Amino acid sequence: MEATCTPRVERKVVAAETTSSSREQASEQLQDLADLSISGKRCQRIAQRVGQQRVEEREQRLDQYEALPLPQQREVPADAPPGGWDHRVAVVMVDGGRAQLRDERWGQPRAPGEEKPRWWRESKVSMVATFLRQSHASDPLPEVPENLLDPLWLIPRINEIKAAKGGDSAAREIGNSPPEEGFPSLDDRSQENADDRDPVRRWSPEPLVRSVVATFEPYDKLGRLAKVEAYHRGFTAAGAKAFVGDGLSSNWKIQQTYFSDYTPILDLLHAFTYVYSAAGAVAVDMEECWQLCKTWITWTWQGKVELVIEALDSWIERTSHVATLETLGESRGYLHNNRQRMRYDDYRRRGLPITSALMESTIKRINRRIKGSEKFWSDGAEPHLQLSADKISETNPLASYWKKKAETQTGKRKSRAKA
Amino acid sequence: MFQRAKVTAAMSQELIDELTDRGRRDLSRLRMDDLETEVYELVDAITRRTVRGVLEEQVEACEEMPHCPQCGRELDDKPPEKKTLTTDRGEVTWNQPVKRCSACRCDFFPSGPGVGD
Repeated sequence: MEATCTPRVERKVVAAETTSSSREQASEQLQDLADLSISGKRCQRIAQRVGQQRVEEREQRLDQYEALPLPQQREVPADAPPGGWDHRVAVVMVDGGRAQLRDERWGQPRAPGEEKPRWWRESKVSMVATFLRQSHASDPLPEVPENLLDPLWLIPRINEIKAAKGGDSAAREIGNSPPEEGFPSLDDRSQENADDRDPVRRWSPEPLVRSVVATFEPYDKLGRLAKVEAYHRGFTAAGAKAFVGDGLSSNWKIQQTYFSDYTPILDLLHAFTYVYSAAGAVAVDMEECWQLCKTWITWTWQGKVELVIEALDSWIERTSHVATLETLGESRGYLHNNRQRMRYDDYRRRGLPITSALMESTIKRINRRIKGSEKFWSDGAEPHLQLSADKISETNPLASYWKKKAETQTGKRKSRAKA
Repeated sequence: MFQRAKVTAAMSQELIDELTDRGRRDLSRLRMDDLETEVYELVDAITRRTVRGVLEEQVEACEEMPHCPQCGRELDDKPPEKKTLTTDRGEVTWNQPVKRCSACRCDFFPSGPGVGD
């Protein structure tokens, strides 16, 4: 029979599991850093048990919130962090990662002609964060920052987003079909290890405290979880609130359903991705592409997306090439559908964030453990996702969990029947 | 609790004596890596023994269950069961008392939300 672990050991196992890319790596870390010999499988079992308990806690918290009368849901709870909202903005960001989840088809023989099953599912993640905010009488930065007009800086980032999203996911961002995948990501170093070389930091408000909620359940569930988290963080009292995401329709459904009083903002870099695609489709060479791109990026940056849409309309009228028309139509659709969320000049004036780079880096951190072409999850997916979200959360929900758990381990034990 | 400083000092001295063979060991070629390994092995062994002792004392102090909660009959003593616990300093094996109801064919042992559950 497997030995029981002390809570102290469990804490270390969970820390290793959530920061490693696999259970084997977690086991190695424990051996190397803590002289603990615990097999990878055992690490995973322990993490799954703890994660499941965290999922149960989360569900309980959700039920408690939703049982509150509506006026009470709009109040600031007693456990909300103290402190005012001067020079602070409450921000909710939403995005998706990916993981392979087994279902009842696993191990079943395929019927003749049946397609190879796909196991990829979307992990839905929301970041509930505070940012420093400084409002201005007018746009403090009407000119596009140098780095955004530097192809060597911008194009790799755009390509990364495009590569990560894949074709059919990009289509979902434009249309209204239900989301399944799509995991745009930026170089997390640009946000997390910001230094003098990092221009993103200079025109983005500084993030303060982030907490993360995540689930494999539908997007609506994510919205409810984010709402509860925002409630406990006391976001109701914030004077400035923003909701940032890419163009996925589910993101904006969450915003309209649960965060309707938040300013909806489309991630700037996602907008640039479509601008760049359109420029690439109509230009004859790279030089012309970049010149067009610079103009359209400048308009987008200045909150004049209508000018970009007009320019695209003009190109659409003049073009008969099918593939070009398709790309132009896609970009135009994206920009048109999101135009109300692209008032970047106004957002900068109000001190609101205009990129979801911090969210993208959060997704990357979660994907490190959850996502992999060789990783197939069954029951453990949701518990592990929960633990990964907990680990990244700067509100440290795991500390409360361990504390609560320790309180029940008093040593005053009654005899009970052997299981 | 106020004895802790005294106990620590006394135990440390005992360990030093053991590791240095009461001053007879040639330490001139002792490498830091070996020193750490030896000290930690010894201290870890003491830690495991201490954890085991405290756990057994805790079990002694836990509530007795004289009768079967299902049928009310008196419970019989059974030989203690070995339990293994993975601690921060290695595995600790300790004896856990077990009682048995022969009528219900059920074993009872101190548990509940205890260590590691």
